[in-house]
Amino acid sequence: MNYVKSDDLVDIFKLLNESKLEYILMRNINNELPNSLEIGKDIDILVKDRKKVDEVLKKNKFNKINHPHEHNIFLYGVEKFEFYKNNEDVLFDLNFQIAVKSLDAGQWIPLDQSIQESAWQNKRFERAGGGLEYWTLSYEDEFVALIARSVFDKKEFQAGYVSRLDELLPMVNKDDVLNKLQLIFFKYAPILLCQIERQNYPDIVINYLKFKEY
Amino acid sequence: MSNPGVITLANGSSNKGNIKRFVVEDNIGESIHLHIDNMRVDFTIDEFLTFSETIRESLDSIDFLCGYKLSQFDEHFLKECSSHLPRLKKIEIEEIELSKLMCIVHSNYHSDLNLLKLVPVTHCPAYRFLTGSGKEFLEYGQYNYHHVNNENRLLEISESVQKNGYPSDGRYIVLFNGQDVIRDGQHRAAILANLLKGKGTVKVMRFYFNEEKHLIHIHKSNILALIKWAAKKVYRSSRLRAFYKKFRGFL
Repeated sequence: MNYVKSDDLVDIFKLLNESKLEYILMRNINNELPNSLEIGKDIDILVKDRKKVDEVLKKNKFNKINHPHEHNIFLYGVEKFEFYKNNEDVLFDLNFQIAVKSLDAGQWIPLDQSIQESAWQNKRFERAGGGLEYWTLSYEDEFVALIARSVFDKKEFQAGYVSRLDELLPMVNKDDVLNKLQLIFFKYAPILLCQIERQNYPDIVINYLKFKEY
Repeated sequence: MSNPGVITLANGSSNKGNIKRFVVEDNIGESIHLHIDNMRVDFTIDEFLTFSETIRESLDSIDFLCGYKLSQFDEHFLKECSSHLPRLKKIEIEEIELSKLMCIVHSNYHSDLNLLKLVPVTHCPAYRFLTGSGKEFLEYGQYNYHHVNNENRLLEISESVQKNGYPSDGRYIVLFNGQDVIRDGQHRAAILANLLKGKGTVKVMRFYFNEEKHLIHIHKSNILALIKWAAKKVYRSSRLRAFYKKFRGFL
């Protein structure tokens, strides 16, 4: 298997940090960064300023390329994702809001505004192994975003997501998480959280679709 | 606050008629929404079920289906033929040889051209699947309720036919006027044909309408589909040509 060179990834995040660009690495499932990111896999980052990110990435030899979702439908102000790639096979997937694919026709829909604001207000600086340093979501926001992505985008809880959620569970403020989950899953939120605490991951999506207590 | 967990339960929107938008949505965890043009009614699940039961009783009480009850039909089928129902004259039960029944089968060409053909029950994808002679049914495009696939649906109906017999709860295979083309109940016909080895007779329900708009004309409908498909291709390629002419200086 071919991996992106870890030194290249470390250097790129160093550049992003030095550029003072406001960004958030949305997830690092299975700690793929910096040592085991397969070539072709993208790095999802949340950014605020489209113009500035374009400037920084182009200055560092990244080129904008077509995004596979460019013809998808984006609702309620979600901006289209953008792909930037350099010659070292580092591929950034730029997100401008935390959004998920709706169950209905797969349109991209933003999570509640308060979750978007919380992402920026509560971001934290992570010093990962191998010299990699990056801005990422707070434990609570990452927890909520991983659940939303599993239910709506993946329609299942994949092993990497389960293991990260299990890791985050003892570290999160449950009240904060529940409040945020209620903005996405409404009355299903407490049941969902309870299923995660019981590690009943395989039934979460189907129970959600069958949920009737509202 | 937008709910990404929305499932469209029914969409009766149409450019014809007074009401343009008529959609029922399940906003999971939140409420059921009934959209009628610019108006939205929010229901809890219990309220919505009570509301739909009231509508069902009202329609039954005005004898909307010529002596039969709504519960005897598949809701999706009734929705599909709803534009013809005001001209429904009578419904009769009759017995017909299984071998005479024809099924409407969709075939895809060039991935985006959908044509129809009429085949006997023993040639329809569901029958072929049941008899182990074709797996194309698994990918066959048909309306299914949320989270149900073709195989689950067919096997569930098969189990019900074997357990409860046919017809069950007064639900019959439906034909329209003089055509022996199945309009509802293709799965049941395939299951019965499989059980009866393609022979014998079955009871069917025949809808009689005052007009003939509902009749299937395979050749006419395929020619129309082909014209629309070709027109779309030409339109796209002419758009491409226009684009090329406009921007060739930059290429």
